[in-house]
Amino acid sequence: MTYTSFLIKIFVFLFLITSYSIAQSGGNSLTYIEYHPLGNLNPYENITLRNNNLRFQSLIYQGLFKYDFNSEEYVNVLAETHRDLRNNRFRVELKRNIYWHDGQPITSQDIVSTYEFIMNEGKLPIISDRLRNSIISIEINSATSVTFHLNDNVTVDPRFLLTQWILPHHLISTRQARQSFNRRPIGSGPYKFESLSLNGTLNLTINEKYHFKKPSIRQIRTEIMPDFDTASLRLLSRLSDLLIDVPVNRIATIDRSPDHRLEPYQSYTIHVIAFNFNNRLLSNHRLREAITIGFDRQTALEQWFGGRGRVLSGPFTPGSPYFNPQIRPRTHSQNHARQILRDLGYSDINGDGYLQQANGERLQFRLLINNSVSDAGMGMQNVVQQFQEQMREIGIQIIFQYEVTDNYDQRLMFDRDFDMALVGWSFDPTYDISYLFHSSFIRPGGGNIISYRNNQIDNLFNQFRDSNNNVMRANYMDSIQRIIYEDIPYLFLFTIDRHAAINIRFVNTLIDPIYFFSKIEEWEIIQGL
Amino acid sequence: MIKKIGYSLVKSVLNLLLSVIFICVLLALIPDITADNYALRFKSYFITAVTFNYDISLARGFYISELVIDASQKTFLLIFVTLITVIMISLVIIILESLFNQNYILQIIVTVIKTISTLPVLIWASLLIFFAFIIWNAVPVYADLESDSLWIKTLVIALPVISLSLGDGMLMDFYLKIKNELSSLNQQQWVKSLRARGISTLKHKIRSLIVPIFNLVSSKITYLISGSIIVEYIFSWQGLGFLIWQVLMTPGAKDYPLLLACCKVLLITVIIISLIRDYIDFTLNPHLIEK
Amino acid sequence: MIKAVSSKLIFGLTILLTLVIAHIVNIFYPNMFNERSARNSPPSITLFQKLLYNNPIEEIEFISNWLFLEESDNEEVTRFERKYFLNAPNRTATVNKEYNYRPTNRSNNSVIYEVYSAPPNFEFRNQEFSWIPIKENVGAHTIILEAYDQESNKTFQIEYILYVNSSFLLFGSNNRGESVFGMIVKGASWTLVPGLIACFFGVILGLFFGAISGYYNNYFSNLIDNLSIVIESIPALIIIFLASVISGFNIYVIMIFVGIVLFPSNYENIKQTVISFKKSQFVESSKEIGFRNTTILWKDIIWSNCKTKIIKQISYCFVFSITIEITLSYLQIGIQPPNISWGMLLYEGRSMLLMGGYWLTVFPSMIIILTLSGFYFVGESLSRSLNPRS
Repeated sequence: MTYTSFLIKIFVFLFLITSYSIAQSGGNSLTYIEYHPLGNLNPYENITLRNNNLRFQSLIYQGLFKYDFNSEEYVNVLAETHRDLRNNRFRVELKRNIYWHDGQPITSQDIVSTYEFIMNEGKLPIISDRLRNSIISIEINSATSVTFHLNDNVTVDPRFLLTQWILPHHLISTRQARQSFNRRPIGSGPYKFESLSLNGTLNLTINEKYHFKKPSIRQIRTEIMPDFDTASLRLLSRLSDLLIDVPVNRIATIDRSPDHRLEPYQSYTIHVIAFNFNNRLLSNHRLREAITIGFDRQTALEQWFGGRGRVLSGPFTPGSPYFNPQIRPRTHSQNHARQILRDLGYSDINGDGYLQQANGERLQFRLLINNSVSDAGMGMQNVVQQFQEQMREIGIQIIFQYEVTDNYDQRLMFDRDFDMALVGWSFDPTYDISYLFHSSFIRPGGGNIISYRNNQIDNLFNQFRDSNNNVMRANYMDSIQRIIYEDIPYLFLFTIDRHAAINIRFVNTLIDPIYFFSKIEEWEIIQGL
Repeated sequence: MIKKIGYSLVKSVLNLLLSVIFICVLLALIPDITADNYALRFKSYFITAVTFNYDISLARGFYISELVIDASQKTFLLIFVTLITVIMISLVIIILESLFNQNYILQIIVTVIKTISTLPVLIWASLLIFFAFIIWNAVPVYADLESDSLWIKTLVIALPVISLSLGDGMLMDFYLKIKNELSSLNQQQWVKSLRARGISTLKHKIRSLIVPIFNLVSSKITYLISGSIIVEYIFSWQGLGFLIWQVLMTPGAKDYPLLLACCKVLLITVIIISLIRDYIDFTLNPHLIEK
Repeated sequence: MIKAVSSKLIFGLTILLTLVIAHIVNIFYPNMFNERSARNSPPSITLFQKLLYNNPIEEIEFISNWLFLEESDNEEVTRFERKYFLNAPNRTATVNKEYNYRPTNRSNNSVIYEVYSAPPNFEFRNQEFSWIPIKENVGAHTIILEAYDQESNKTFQIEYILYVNSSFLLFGSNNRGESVFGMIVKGASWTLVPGLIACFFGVILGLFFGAISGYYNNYFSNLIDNLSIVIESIPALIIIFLASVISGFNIYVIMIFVGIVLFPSNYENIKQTVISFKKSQFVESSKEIGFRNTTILWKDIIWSNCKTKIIKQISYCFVFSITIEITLSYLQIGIQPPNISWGMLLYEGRSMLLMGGYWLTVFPSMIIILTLSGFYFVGESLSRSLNPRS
């Protein structure tokens, strides 16, 4: 063959290849993308603490109650009624005519064996310890009625303890049955387990005999894509429909795409910079104040997160129960910060741009950062760098120390080996902040990582815990917030909205911040899009 | 000769054991919550590595053997298809060069490929996925192998293979090696005499090319495995390298039995390939046995 | 062929020289490229900027250097403008560069000029308006200047629109407004020193042990042989991932392990050469003459015959270490911020590709290709020119 004919064939081949196009997904199924593979299908034998497990569990399993984050109250799921009896007893009546996926009816035996399984053999110590400390025993009154005997020290709403997923008794009672259950789980939720491939792809089909309102989506599929950019491209190509957590650097692109919609949801996570009170300099309240007002948090939020979040004045996020909007964050003022530092006696003796103490030591602090901070698009990384630059402008030197998650946890929670640390705290519906501020948690492994000791706050927390009056509790929490605002134990940065990106053919998508698919029955599909 | 093969077999088993010890030495340097002592960690990792465990992986819920078999299928598919592709493409380029001698365009193409193949595998993979999205609106991941369209199935395998073969100069190394071997072959006397008689030299050339190519393959196999870790990450194939990386990067309690099982499989692959290389050396070059 | 060799060598050596210069600049002038512009601004080096750039990025509208300015069509203003504002003001200003305008009129000395309205932080001294716009001032601003004629007691205003350009940087800017060119220069500091460390542990140790174990066939050589086989059979990236996790992302410790990964192939190469030369005539005759073993080994065998291999090994070592450094920092387990590396640039640039921001991917990739090809060319051409047989 000649040279020109060879070239022509090559060009024709290339032309044919590039004019191909791929069809997109459609129909009555939802494909969503996760970044990490799922753990064990049995919720109580799963040791990974990631939220991706909660998402698919909310499709297959159900609990007695569930917490609705939007209306901020507990909702009955499998329970029909509940009653507080005397002597710390709590009776729950089940609904009638509720069945497992294999057709067996749900009885109180299932509830008892589930809770015993969690307390005795569960592999998640947080939940097992909490239940073991709170529940003394469970009685079966009838086939549909159960009474929980609670411990005296339980001060939360008992329904908080009873949101755990219920598993079928006939499948978890023996070890052998449990092994087959772990491969093919049976629940009572709107979707049935169909298959889980070794690649991590999970297929669920609709439960035809669902006892509550049946969802309109007939199939749900999970795909695992560990690379953030590949996941975003997959969403934009419409081969997948839903991306749970859009990385910060992709929000603008997906916002502009006409086929997708961004749904923000609360993250119940606050990003803070912790001041270690064991450091002699940082235990000075005015220095902490200077650092706080020397950093422009609002501009950082707008620049790196597009303003999608809120600057904090305390540990409560706007969605939390005791949030007080009257307490506003301190305003940024560089001159005021410089003035405070001058009043404290720091000055630039040798003219290197940083302030020194009287003995000539430079004013510098180490900032401990978790290495995974740049995972989802460099947002917090940019914030931290801007913090370093603005501190340099007022004369304080910040030195970064990056650690892998394991070493970071060790230094933060146990060794307390840091001056300042970038921390993200996440809260559950009770929003118990005493874990962070009560002096009893200063021990290694406790949440009071800054070694913060304030007797007034300790007393207020104790009173809050002992009181049953909601009005008094709100007052106590308000006082606590005001003291925290004055004391500045943390530099409260902000809370960031997380976003889910969803194809526009899904409408009425109500999202739960933690379980995500709690209201899957309301989702609807517009055909033809 | 059997003595030689037996000797090399024993040597490879010893090699495997020492490599496992080396990996355990490095692994035990990572601090873990469950064991504070370096010696304790090393001992537990070594025992796990030497025994065959059929337990359920703590993090994934499947049996370790299932996970490793499935992952090794994917990794081997990637590696061997890459090797075949690379050899084929380099042969094609050499044949083209011999057909169209002294052609400037071909030389320019080869030089261009040579320069851009210095880019690491990572950049190739991310650029290829970006172009696949722009041109065909396709983001091929491993789960797409179940789809009906043949084109998607081709893309799923073709894109990782192209990025593996072009990244880090893999293709160029094979091309140069085969070209050098062929040119040195063509200068040999017996080839010239065969050609003068008009007998086809193809069979003999292939037979004498096998040994150098296999030597190159066995020396490049470790770099191919390294490249496959990255390609598996970006294209979401959950192969052996990706499993290893995932175990290393999860916070908290790590699944070391899974990691050691994957390392074992990779080491056994490398050692089997070097064994085969020794066998081929002995059979096709019998004069080496006298050494 | 001599011409081809020398041109490749010159190309490679220029690239090496630029790397060394970049390294020196980083050490002695670390703040040279600290200039910031607006975030995500396109590069000024490409002439097709206007054609390629259709959509604004992230709500900032860019006014390119080639945009035609709108002329004021208010005729009254232009009439008085000619009398009291003889010189028309410049309509464009660039960020961080001083903008001056001194209005003049030839005849009348009793005219006092004042600023009626202008953006904040301006200065008006000695009848001269000067302003240094900062990067937040990118865009269009209206400036109104007044001329007060003391004789006729009248005031005349001139109102014009001043377009503030973001200062276009050479290769564009990233999400923080930093110059991509500056970051490329800073990233070049991670090519030479880590490569040298890897070179020492890979090439020089391989040379030393290979020569010794090839020449003296004893127990020690068997030991190193087995060690090198062991290291060779473990995939490289696993050792390097373990190294980065163990060392806490210290690039210098990682490079020690990179050198260890490269050790086996160098060792075997040198060892086989030494073994093949050990049987040759001149070695035997040197022994009979009475030269010492070390002289024969190092001077005759290694220095005369292995130079080409060593130079190729050194260049491959540098290439490999740079590739590993880029891969690791792309995956965020290598060089950590605020240190900058080429891999980090590529990671940031990946998300910009869809929005049309090609400059964060194309320019670093080109520099990477040039650097790695430069090392290859130097190795190839030096080894070819030093080869006594060609």
